[in-house]
Amino acid sequence: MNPSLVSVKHLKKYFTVKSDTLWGKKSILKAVDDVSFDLYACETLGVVGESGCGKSTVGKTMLRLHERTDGSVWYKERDIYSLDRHELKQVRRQMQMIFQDPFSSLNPRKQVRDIVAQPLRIFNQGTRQEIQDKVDHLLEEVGLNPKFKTRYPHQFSGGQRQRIGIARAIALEPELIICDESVSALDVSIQAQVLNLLLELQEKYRLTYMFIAHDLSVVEFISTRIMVMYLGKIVEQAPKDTLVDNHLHPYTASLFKASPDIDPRNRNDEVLLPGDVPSPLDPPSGCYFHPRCPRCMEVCTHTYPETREVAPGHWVACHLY
Amino acid sequence: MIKDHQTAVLEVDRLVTEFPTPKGTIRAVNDVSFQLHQGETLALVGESGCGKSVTALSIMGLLAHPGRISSGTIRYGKDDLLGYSTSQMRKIRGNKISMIFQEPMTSLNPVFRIKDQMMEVILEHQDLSSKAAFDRAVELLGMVGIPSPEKRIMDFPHHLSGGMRQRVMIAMALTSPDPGILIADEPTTALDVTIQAQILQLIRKLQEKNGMSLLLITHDMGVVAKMADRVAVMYAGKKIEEADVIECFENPCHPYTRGLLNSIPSNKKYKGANRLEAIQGFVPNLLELGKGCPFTNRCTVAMDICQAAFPSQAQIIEGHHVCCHAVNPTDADKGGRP
Repeated sequence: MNPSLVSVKHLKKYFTVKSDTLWGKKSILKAVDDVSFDLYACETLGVVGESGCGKSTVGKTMLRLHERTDGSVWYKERDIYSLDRHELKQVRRQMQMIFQDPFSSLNPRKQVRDIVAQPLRIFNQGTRQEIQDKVDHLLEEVGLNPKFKTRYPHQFSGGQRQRIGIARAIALEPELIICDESVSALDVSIQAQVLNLLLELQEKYRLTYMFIAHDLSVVEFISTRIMVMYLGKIVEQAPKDTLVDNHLHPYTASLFKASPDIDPRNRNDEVLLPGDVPSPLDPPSGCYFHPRCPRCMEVCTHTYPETREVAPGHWVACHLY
Repeated sequence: MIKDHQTAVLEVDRLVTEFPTPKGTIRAVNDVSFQLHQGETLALVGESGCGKSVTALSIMGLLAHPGRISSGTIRYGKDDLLGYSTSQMRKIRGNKISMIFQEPMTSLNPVFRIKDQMMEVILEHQDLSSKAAFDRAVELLGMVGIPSPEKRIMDFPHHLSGGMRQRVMIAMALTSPDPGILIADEPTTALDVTIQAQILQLIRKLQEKNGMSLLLITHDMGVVAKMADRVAVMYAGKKIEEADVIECFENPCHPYTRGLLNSIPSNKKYKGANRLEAIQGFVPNLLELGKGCPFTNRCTVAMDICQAAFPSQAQIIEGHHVCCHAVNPTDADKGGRP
């Protein structure tokens, strides 16, 4: 396996939430609760989970877009939480992000060439002319015609806007790109184009992706390793094929069961996962999944299971294993 | 399940819905015809802007100004719904034909309790006392799987999760003792996948119970595969293919339908692959459509004639129709593939 590029250790991110009433007590939302994993060079780590499971917060906390509550994030042997502003700036150059909403993540008052050129200007990547040439090249690279570079974001469709976001993310030739639900808002035919583009760029620039999404089929296709999150914790983590064919955690199993198969002959009406995702403000005792778990045992109601490595690279947090 | 594929409960014939804009008139629905039969599920599939939601709103008589239906008929039973007055439509809507909308947060009124919103629908269509209407509302909430419905009915919409709100929407759509048709416009798009599976199962069970017909509008082929009996695929306001669900997935004939299925990463053919067979290009601007097939500019098998004229509908096998110049109906025995 390639060397570890980013190593996240016991990362925690808590938010304080105001109470509904004026004098009520503030409560603590544990968005990311003691999460550890490694990101290896040139891999794609898929992160799946339902809304509110903390998958986006992990991504943002890794880039220090949110400050952590506790834990550490090591980028090539350096804890990014120990860096000062200038050092952090240099590290961030290597770690870029593509956001979910292609409408709100681009400044509507700027032309596309300025949006894509901004990272190049911040890091003084050449003269005006050199930067403009680089922008033309980047737009071609993501499949946009450079002659549209004087247009504004609203003149593009959702898929094209996402391509602009990608051009901006690869402008500084980073090592790591965190894709936070980057294809979720797109129509399926456009989503397929963007996924292909991400794969092409990965091969060309030897990129490492952390691919955060709720759509299991997309994650399954693009990832080399997959990590499943539930209420701020990682419940299972394994190489893609292991996770798809041999997942252990009951939550992973129900996620796979719930995502619709595109074979109309295969309409299984199995027992579905009951109930809603509990509020992360008030997670259940013991294993957070136990109220919905079909294989819940007595121990699950009071003790959170330890994460164990059941096979090389296959980690699971469940009392069953 | 009562399925009678002879009796059409709803018949949309050559529907054209237009939106005048300062730049010209947009034909959001362009000459679309389909039938919905007793007890069946017809999925109307397509990507954003293909006119699937506008078709639903046209049926419900809920088009927002300045949209208008410029030609066609929508036959419900013996009558043309387009000839109905506003008060006649009010008797149909929410009673004989109900609709579930995509976003359960914006379709429920945030300032009224669930109780008030449900009782309003019940009292509008049924001659009940408010006590009886309240009991009926509680019963319906229980039926859609809301725990302790007699307490939840006093809640405001913001007290409920997305999945619970969608259940309330479904309960509201089913207040009538005899709901004939349910139109579900992307009923699960805003929901998490485990909740989506719950809601889809709920809709299927309710449909089995009361034999209603379901017009399911979605962009998600996975939902189609799970729910539909028949599928109609729309592209840029046109219906381009219609078939039985298994036929549609196993023998798609229109290049767009095939492209749509190929775009899904969970397609079995992509096991171990590292590229998807994506459709190139993007959906054309509806203002700039010519006379020809709107898919021409993205189509891999486009010919000269595709620019010039929209193809007429060809039958591949019984119940499988496609509009494509590249599909020659005489090739039907070869599976109709171009």
